[in-house]
Amino acid sequence: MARDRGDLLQGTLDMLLLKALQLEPMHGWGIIERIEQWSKDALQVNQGSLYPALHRLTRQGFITSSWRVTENNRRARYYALTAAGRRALAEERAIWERLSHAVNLVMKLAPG
Amino acid sequence: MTWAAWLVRARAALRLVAGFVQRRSQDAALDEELQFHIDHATERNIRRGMTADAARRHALVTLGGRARWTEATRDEQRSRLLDDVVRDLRYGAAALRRNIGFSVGGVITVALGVAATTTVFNFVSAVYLRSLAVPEGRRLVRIHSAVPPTQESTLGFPAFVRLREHTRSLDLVAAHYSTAPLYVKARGESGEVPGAVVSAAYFRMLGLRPALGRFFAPDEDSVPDRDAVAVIGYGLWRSRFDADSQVVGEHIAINGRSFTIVGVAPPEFDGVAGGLVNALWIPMMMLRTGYRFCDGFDPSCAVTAILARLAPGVTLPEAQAELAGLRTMLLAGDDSARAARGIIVEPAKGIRDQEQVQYATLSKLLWAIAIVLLVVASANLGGLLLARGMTRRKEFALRASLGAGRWRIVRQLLAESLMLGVTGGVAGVALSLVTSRALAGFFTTENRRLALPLDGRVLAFVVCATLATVLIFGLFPALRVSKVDVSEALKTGGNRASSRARSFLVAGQTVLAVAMLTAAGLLSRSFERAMSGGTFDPRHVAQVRLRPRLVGYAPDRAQAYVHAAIERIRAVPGVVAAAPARGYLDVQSTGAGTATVGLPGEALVAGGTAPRVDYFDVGPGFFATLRVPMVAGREFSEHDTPSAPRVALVNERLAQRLWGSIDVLDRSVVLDGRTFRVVGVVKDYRPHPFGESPRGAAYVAYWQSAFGPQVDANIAIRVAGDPLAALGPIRRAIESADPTVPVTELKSMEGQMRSSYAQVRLGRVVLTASAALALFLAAVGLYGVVAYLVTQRAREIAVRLAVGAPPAAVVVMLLRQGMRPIVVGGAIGLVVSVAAAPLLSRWLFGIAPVDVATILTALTTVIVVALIASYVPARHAAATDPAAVFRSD
Repeated sequence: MARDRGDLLQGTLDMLLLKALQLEPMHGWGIIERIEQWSKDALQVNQGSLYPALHRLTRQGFITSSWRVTENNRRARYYALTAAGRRALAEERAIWERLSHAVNLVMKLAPG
Repeated sequence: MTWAAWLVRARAALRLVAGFVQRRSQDAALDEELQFHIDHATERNIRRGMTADAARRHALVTLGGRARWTEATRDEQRSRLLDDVVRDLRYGAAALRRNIGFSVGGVITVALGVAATTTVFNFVSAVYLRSLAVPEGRRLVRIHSAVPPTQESTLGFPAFVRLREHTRSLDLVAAHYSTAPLYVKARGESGEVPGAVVSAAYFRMLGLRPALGRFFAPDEDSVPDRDAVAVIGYGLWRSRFDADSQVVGEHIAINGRSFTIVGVAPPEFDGVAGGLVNALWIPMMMLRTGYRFCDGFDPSCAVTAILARLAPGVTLPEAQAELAGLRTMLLAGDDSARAARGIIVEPAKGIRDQEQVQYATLSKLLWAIAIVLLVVASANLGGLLLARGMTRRKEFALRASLGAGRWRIVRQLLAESLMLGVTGGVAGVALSLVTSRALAGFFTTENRRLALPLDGRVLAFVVCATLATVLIFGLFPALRVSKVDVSEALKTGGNRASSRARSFLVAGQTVLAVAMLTAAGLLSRSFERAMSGGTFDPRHVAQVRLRPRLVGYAPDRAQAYVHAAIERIRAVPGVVAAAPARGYLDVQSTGAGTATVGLPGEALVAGGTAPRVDYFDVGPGFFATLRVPMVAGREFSEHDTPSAPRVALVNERLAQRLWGSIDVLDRSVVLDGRTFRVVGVVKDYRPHPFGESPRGAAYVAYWQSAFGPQVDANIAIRVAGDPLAALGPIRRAIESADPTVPVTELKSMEGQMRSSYAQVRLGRVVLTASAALALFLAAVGLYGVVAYLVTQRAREIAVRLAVGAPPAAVVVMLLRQGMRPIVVGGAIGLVVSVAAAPLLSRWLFGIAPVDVATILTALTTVIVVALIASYVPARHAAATDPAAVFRSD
């Protein structure tokens, strides 16, 4: 498995999607570009799992979707964060920070 | 798997249906969203320097392939039920194929249950529900009169004419006499053809078109005895006229009169008297040729029935209301008793009313058996599913631990039972074609036919019955099995509950086996006793009916003919005795009719309330011919002529009733107002159903009849050898006396009785087969129970054997435990058969419903079979080497 291509750790996709939608509603393609841009192309969202994830989050009530017209005058489905989504994002972030802190502590330990 | 493939297609079709409109719009939205994404990705790829084609391809690949992507997204959506069902079925099909033995067992079980219920439903449908197979047969109604509460009778010709003129709710009204014995001479051959005398509207009302020629013209409906024309049936046209296209215009003799064939009826049409076949039709105006006992045009001789078609837009209640209003007018001219009757208008469905009544017991019995068989089959299927489900608990537990919901597992199991059910249902329907034919065979003779086609009604019934059964009996094991305690199941794969359920099933099947074996045994003995009874002997007896009345012979000429014919019969080599009788010889029939009976000097109570007994005219030597013993006195002799003193015989029952004794020689008895001297007492020989007393019967010397001069005669003939072999020579002898007189119903008495007892025989066959099936299922189930006991107690058995217990003791121990459900089931079965047997009493001749010998036979049979079924695995257990058991631990 090619880790260096920046595949996402399992379970982190949902968190990143919520984070991408934190500022404004976006369509699927926009979310991909936003994540790649923020991560300076270090993270590649697997496009095949993007939409299933978005629908899953919709079903869980963390995001809603609606059809809007883009600046180029095309119809697109925009996803927006709900209040529950914001709470979920906050929780995910807290967990992630604790986890990454802990992992960092371990990884920084000098051997021996 | 074809089923799965089929269902995939069905799913595609279903999607088009309204319920999936929402899903379609979701799909469309998904496509649009996807397209938007691909366009952007392609655009970016082009910006990064790819060609347009490569850019698009790359965009698609990155998305993971359209199909996979769509499928994965869909899984996250709500309306997944149908997809899941398809997946369940696919999975189930694979599971069923993996365990072919189980699947075949399940399919056979369902097929048997379905075949039984389908056949019976088909029978009941034919007897009670099916309309005539003519265009718009549902609009046809039968019209007759009724004496409350249940007696029905035909309205007669004058009422028909008035009805035809006055009714507005009926479009076409036809009179018909569909039980006309027409004696036909054509192309050098003669014989009786079951025919009908019908008014001109008959064929038009039925909406039929002739295969050749024409039907009757309205003009032929006007003048009695003028238009001697006939329409022949398609079958008769093929068999007797070699399907000759020149048959129209040919002359044939019917009941001694010359008729011209004017047409051939269409194939498949055989009359309107459900169950009775007609093969020849003559116009209503020729009624006096078709019916000779009284003048059918007279109001007092009501032989014609009325069939009519409802006018367009008229409902049955409207027609009933109209005819109720016409009642007085219709019945005008009838005597007061008849005029008090009501008019019945009912859909022309099923077979004739009087036979519907006869078939009531049979229908109920068949229903009961079919339902029992279906329940047994279903319970067995449930047992199979449960047992199999239990062995798969580890699989389900694993799936549950991976997150599959209980509903999901239940659905999976139901899908499997559904597939078994559908396959079994199809097999059952195929099987029912065979069983329906066999059932119809019991009611089919030369002029009777019970058609049992698989029509839409029957198929609808089958589908409902099968689905209901499979879902109900599949659900219980599915719920039971899916209630998995994951850790428990993974550890042991436990089997206890399934064993208990199996014991329960075995007990239930034992109950049925005992009850049905008892009933089958009762019917079997009943039939045997009815056929011999010990008081008469139908073997070596032939019978024949001489019908000079059909060809219009006057009594003198007819009697001379009968005398001559009997002489000729007696001269046939091998004939031992021959004697005439009036009325059917069939021991179940009531003879020539009934007569009032009394003692001389008793004033007859006005209004016809005098007691009546069965009445017979029998000739010299009649009882010797049937080997019916005389209790006292003599039977009639050649000297009891019309000019000699009038003499009679009574049976024991009537002697006891009239005089309280059988010592009654030379006493006088009054039959229908005439006084006879009793010269003998005869045994009660006619079989009577259990619970009814033997019927009182009076026998009058044949030539001294109280019923008027003799014309037709039934002859009983005892022969030395096979009566069937003697029929040919007997017919030739009779025809040598006078070739013009119709000779009918020439057959062996045993054959005649076998068809009289068709229902009893059928009941016996059906019950025996069902009992065998129940017994077989119980035996197989018991084998399973004992085999399970053996595996459960393998260690204990090994210990016992190791410490020196004799193998026989181990066998006995296992048998004792294994036989428990049999003992319980047998006891309940005993109670059930004692309780249910009275239902059969109508069919029990010379045997009581509770017959110890029959019950013991049934119980013994069940116990012996059960012992064998449990001995085999028990013996196997006792023969194992204890050391091997310990090692395997």
